[in-house]
Formats: sequence, C-alpha cells, structure tokens
Amino acid sequence: MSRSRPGPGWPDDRAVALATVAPLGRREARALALHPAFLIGLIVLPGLILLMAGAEPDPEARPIIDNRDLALVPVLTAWAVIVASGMAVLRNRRYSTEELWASLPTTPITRTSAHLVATLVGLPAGLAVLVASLILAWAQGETGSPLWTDILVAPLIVMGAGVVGVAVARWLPRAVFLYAAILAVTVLQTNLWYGDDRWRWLHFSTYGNDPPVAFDALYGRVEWHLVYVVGLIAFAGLLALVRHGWSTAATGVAIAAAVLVAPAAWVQTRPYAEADVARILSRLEEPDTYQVCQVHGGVTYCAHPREVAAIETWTGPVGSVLERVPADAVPADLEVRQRPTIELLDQAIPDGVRRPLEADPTRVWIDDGHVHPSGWVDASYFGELRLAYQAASAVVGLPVTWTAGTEQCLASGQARSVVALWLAGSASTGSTDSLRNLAAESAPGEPVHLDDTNIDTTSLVLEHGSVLDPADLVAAVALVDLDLSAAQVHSLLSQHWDEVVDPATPADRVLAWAGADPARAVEPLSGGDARPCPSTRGVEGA
Amino acid sequence: MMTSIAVSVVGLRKRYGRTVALDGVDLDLGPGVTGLLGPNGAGKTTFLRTVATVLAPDDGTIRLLGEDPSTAAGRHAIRTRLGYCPQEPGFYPGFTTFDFVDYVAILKEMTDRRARHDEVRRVLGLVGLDEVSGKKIRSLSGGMRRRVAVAQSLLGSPDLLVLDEPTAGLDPEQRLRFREILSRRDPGQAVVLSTHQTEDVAALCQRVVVLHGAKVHFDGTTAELAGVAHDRVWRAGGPDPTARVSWIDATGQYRHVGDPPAGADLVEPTIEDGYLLLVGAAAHAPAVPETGPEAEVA
Repeated sequence: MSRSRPGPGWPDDRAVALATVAPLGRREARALALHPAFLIGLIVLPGLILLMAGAEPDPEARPIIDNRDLALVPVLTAWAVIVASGMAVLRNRRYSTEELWASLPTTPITRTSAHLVATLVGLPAGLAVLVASLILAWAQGETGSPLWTDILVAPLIVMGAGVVGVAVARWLPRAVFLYAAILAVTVLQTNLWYGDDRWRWLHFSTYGNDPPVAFDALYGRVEWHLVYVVGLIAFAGLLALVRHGWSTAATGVAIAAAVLVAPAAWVQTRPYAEADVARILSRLEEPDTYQVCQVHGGVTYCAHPREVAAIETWTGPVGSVLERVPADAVPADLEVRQRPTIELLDQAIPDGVRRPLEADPTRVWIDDGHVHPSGWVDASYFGELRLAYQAASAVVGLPVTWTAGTEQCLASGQARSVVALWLAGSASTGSTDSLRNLAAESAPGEPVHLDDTNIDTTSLVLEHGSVLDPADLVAAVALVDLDLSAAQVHSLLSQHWDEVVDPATPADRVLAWAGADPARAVEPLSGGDARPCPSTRGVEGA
Repeated sequence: MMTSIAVSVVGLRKRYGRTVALDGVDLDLGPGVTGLLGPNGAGKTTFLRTVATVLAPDDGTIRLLGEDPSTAAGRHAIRTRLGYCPQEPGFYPGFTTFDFVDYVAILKEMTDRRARHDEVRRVLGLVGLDEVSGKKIRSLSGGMRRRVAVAQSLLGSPDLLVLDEPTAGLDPEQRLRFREILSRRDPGQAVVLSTHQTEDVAALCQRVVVLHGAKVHFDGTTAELAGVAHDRVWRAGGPDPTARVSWIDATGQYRHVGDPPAGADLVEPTIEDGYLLLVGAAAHAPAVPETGPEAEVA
C-alpha cells in the first residue's frame, strides 16, 4: 500500500537520550534476534555447515583445531546480520511510521544509537556459533586447544556486521544496499592488501594471507588485533551516527575509535626496532630460552608458549615409536622441540630476521639429534609419519634433521632404515596410511623425500636427515601388514637391537626375524646424489 | 506546566511547491476539544502535522504548550507532552499490539519498565484492545488497528492530543467508545480533532474551526456553526432549484440548504448545514492534496 509521507520537518535534533537508548536498545536487540535473516544466519547457515561437516567426514581432514578457521565460521552469520540489522533500521520506512516517530521526543540519533546497542546481541550469537563449531570439532576427534586471542574475533565479526548494517541503512536506506554491503565487505576483506602479509592486520580477520602463526606468537601482536577490531566497529558506529550531523555522541565515539584503532594499527604494522629483531632472532635460534616444556613418558616436549596445545598432537606418534623399542635404546636427552616453518618470502618477516636466516639456515634448523616438529602435527599430509620417522631415526641412529650445507643421506637396504620406517608406519592409523601411500606412489630406484617440499631458498621447513629407498618403504609396509602388537614388536626388536642399529645389517634380516616374506626385499639403491648415512649411535656407516 | 493556550499560531504559512496548503492561519486553541472541519485539501492534515511538530512552517510563529518548536529544546518539551494519531499511522505488523504500543511508549521516553507496561495496559484497556494485546498487529482488523493508533496517542495522558481522522473506519460502537474516551479526558487537556464526521464534532467539540482553501473560514462553537444556517434550512416535498444543497431525509421529504423561498417550512439547522453553507459546492473541489508530497523524515 502506498502511503504519503510528510514534507520537510524540523532539523534532526542531535542529542542522544541515554536513558532511552538502554530500553530501546533492548527492544531492538530482541527484534534483531528474532529477525528471520538473523535466525537464518544463526541457525540455518552454520547448521548447514555443521551438517555438511558431519555428513561427509574428510579422511584427509586435519584432526586439529584450526583457530583461524574457527574464527571465520560465523562469517555467514555475519552476512545475515548485516541484512537483519539494516532491515531493522529500515523498518520505519517500510511500514511508514516515520510521521508518528517524528512527533515523538526520541530523536533519530537516539534511535540509531539504540540500533547500534542492539548489535551487541551479535556477541552471544557469534559465541554460540563458535562454541557449536568447537563442540563439533571435538566430537570429530580434533585435538588441540582453542587460542582465544585468535578466535574471539569471531563474535566481534558478527557484532561488527550488525554495526555495518546500521551504518549502511542510515546512509543508503534501501534493502538492496545491504546486499551490496555484504559483497563490498567480502571483496575488501579478501582483496585489500592481499598478498602483502604486513597489512593483513588491517583486516577483520588476519586469516586471509595465511600468516605464520609461530611468528605471530613471537611478535606478540595478536592481542592488539582484538583491540583494533573493536576500534573498527566503533568507527563503523561513528559512520552511522554522523548521518544525523556531528554531535556530542559522535565526538565521543570518534575519540574512542581513534584511541582504539590508531595505537592498535600502529603496534601491529610498525617497523621493528633493532631490539625486537634481535629478540625474534634469538628466540628462533635458541627456542629453549622461551619455550614451554612438558614431560610425557620420560620425553621432554617443548613448544611456543601460544602453541603448547600442539604438544598433545606430538605425544601420540612419538610415544608409539618409543614403546616399541628397548628402553635403553632411547637417547637419554631426547627432546621433541618445536621449530617454526619460516617462509623467507613472507613480507611480514622483518628483513633483520630474514637475511641472517637466508644466509645461514642452520641458525634455526640444527642437526642436534632432537626431534623438531614445525607446528601442529596431523594425520593428513604425512604429518604423523614425518614426526614418527624423526623419532624412529633418533632411536636407530639415523640423522634426524637435515643440516644446510650437507647432503641428505641414504641408508638403503639397511635394517635400521626399514625398522625406522616400520616404527613410523605403526605409530598411528594416519601414519600407516601415509606409509602405504608413499610406498605406492614411489618410483622404483628413485630416492624418496619424505618432505613434500624441496629444499630451496624460499622456505626453511623441516627436512629429514635421510632420503628413502622405495624398496625399504615396500619392506616396511610388509612389516606393518603383519599387524604385530606393540609388545610383539618391542620383544622382537629387543632381541636383535644391536643388529638393528648396525648399518651393516641388511633389511631382509628384519623381514626374516618378523616372519615377513623375504622375497619382498630387493637390492639396495646404489649411486645417486645421496651419501651413505652415518650412524649417530657411534657405529660407522657402510 | 500547562498553559491556558495550548496552540497559538500567527500567520502560519506552508507551501508544497506552488501549492499553498496554509495561508496565514491565525489560531489560539485552549483546553477542550476543538474540531477541525474542512473539505479534502483544505489544509487540515498540514495544520495538524505542524501542530504535531512533524512539519516546520514556512512562515509565521507557532507556540505549542507554551514552547517554541523552532528550538530543539522546545520541540523536545512539546513532544514529551504531545499525543499524535496520524491520518495514516504505520504499524509494525510483526509486533504484538502490546509490543507496538510499548515501543511507542519507549520512544515517548517512558523508561521505567514497570510504569510503562502499566500505562500500555491502561491505554489498551481504554480503547478496548486488552483482549488482543498479545495478537500480532498483522492479524488485527482495520478498525482495531485504528484503535491501536488512538491508544498510542493516549500514552502518558498528553496535555495536547492531535487526532487526524481517528474515527475513520470505526464501526458505530467503536465511534461511541471513542467519544466516551475523549469525554473522560482531563479537563485541562487540549484536543485537536480533524474529522469528516460532523456528528462527532457535534457530540464532542466545544469549539470548531473550518479550514477551507488554506485559510480559516470559521472559528466558533458548534452552536455558532449551526447558527450559520439559521433560517436557511427548509423542508419541501420536491426539489428546489434555489437550494445550494438538497437531499431526501429520513422523513422522505427534501431537506434544502440555501436561501429559502418565502413561506418555506424552516427547520432547525445542524452544524452540518452550517458547514455546507460555509464551504458550499467548493467542498468538492480540493485546493491541495490532502497529504503532502513525498518527502523524508528520518
């Protein structure tokens, strides 16, 4: 029905009646929470995601909690909230109550303030979606602990979307602009400064550019990002308020936004002082000076303070390896110590850190005989197999990690090589699958890098000390297929341990001890680029 | 504080483009019910919107409840003591009756929840909607919605009540109920009532103002308005070409209004007769649209 609208009225009064904002904000919050778009965003969209996640579990999915993925789960909710909050603002136009409203003492800026206050309902809504996602993650067996400083941006995104909806509806009072706002925000968030990690801090979520988590921990800037996002929300609220002219309330919000945004943006994007560079470098080179350690099964595990929860993803594969070998075979000083993957092209890394590492990668990746997971370890992408292989290498006397300036070595056809792979492949279901896949995909006669990246100058990632003989992989698969219990493996290896660690012992001896088909063993690889592996247990290599 | 003059306008002018809606209107309205009559386009709604502080006049001075609406403080003071029922009130169809009136009460700065809810229940009871307070507005009939509009205008027992055709669409029983509500008002309250129902004016108004062609054509009591037609209303068995307006009444005879012929059967005039004589045939030729042009009020 077409209704007439009154002609020009008196100018907007700019006083905000705080006593009215509270009850009106509560009323609008209730209306917002019951708005169909809000309900769809809160229940239907996340519900669809959860249903899809629950209906078709991806066997290759990372079984760890990804904090930044969690932070982005409520994005669909946020889209819906932009529409819901904007439509609430447009309600008086839609239903032609403007004339009546204009005769009432509550000013338009007070109503806008109440709409902004109502967006606080986005916080519990975003938290609810977050908690549901966490519960789902845990129900699906994902491990690890949520990092609140990362994921608390999720409810802020939902609330911020509500504030954006209010601002858009005040300036562009047509529903179509709310949908345009969703598109605009998405394009801005995914494209603005994309590809330059230094500016990822200026997004609502820092996820976009796949930031180096360990470096965030070192920089200590993550907490400031929450402050920055709160300031951004205040800024969007300011845009809504100034639609009614500059007012005392707008001045207050402008000051609050500036106080929050300016220092938080500066802290996150500022150039590093020399002392900061030295601190980061020293932490990378000497992680024991600041990492947090825990002892599990007699082995010390150490991680960045913000990633201590990762330790629980390491103890399983490492513990499985160690329980299968004689107790005295485990090096007394064995440590599992995190070292971060460093992408040298990452522009977020200060030059003062990048250049020294580029020149001498051994400053970070040191062949010290310890196990060095680079971060979270998961079942897919050979993560558990790699970690278990490091632990097994340390036990059987193979070099654990590669040292720059040397070649990776080859222990082809040796009993210790096959045993290390057997132990690694038995460490978990994931590592068993990974071992089988690796063996199936390997070309006979071609050395296999367990690492999925080549050693190059653009990234400093974990490289194993040894490369693998496809035949040893096949032999290890044959041993895994015997499906011996941990106690049986322990007993078997205990009987022959001295021979296992002797580089002169051929691989087919292990097959014979275990009762596997010796015909599956083939001749060792010879030649190629790899040098023979020395023994780290004091026995000379072949 | 209530002043004796609730509405005081001098030289009030309002234009919509080249159309003059109010042309030098001078009025002082005090306590009691003032009826506003006039043909479509006479400027009634524009006048009421101005009195309701929705519209700003182009010229002239206006004081409402002793306050100056041209200042922010004055407007706020007026609006806290004003009740307004627009001609076409909008509703939020998804709200319940109670919630909608409660929402208006919040906008009237009634911040104490308990007192506000009591007041909402009171006004819904006054208009006989307490039974449907939990029903969504979309499920209410047109008459019920009109009563919701009246109910919200009564919130806080305002000192100045501005009602633009509040009885349009109401059935006879509801119209009587409306009269009853206004009869129970505080004697100090000023009510400005625009209507096309002359019976309502006769029943309710101590004073009546006739707007026509953007100007005040009559300002007096209802008896005085009826008196305009004194000795100018007569009955006859057939049509009379000298009459300005004629119709067959309940007796089956013609009732004529105009200049009676000698020896005519004169009858007692009503305010409707007086009104018809004032606006004449021009009542059917609107000078301006009844409502203003499309424009935005934020």
